[in-house]
Amino acid sequence: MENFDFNEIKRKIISYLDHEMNQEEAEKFLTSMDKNPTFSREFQSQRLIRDKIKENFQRPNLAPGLHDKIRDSIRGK
Amino acid sequence: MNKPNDKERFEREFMPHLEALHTFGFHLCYNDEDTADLVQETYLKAYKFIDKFEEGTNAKAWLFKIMKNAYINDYRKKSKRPIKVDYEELVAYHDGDDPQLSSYYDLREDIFDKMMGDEVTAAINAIPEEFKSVIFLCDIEDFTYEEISKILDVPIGTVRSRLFRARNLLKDLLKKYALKMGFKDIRGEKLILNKQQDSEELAGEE
Repeated sequence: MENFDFNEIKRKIISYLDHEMNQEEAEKFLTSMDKNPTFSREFQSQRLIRDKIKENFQRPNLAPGLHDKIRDSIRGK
Repeated sequence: MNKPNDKERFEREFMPHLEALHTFGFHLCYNDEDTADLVQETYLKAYKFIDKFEEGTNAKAWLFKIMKNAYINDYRKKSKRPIKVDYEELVAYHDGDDPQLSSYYDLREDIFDKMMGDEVTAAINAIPEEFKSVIFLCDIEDFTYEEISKILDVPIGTVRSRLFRARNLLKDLLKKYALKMGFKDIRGEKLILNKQQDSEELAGEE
């Protein structure tokens, strides 16, 4: 029976995906994910959820001509 | 006082963030007209104070911060924003981590991957605006906790807890959609099986 704190692993996954780890921590984290299929599976799952959110987040339509309007205002300054 | 090459620099460094800024503005104002005005005002303010922008820092985060301040100063009163969520009421909602590994098998990749984009979009749209904003800033725009903290003018701990709650709300909504689609929640046993697999098994027994 494996002995690990899954909540701690989950916190690390979130920290990695939220870009809150430095390079050294990130490398260590990725190594630990590679070594354990259970961790890796949770990691892939969390990453997939993020990707789905990113893909499906709806942006409101940009008002036509807004870019030009702003550029013209700046040029007029 | 703007320098002669400020206009080119501004166009190069700041204008590419228009779409992101517009989305953030919409989540503050909640109507197209005010959003367009707020975006324009943000850019004009940014241009006016471009000498205050520290070279090498995050231009997008700087624009977002200007927008948030402009919104608080000029737009908040007149915006038709939905009623603000009382965070305290939501503190108890899903605030603890599940103690068992098995409970994380409630929304696995196999179930999530089959979910249609529409359901994901509907779930994102259904969560309260304050939570949607942190999801947007962190997951869509890839700001760090520190940048989000500066943009929203809240402590980093608040950013963390809002994100945690936002994700749990989202997870809960998606789980409801999944169940509606026919996925079974068998937490604590094994992975969730889909309806088709169940049907196949039943057919085999007959």
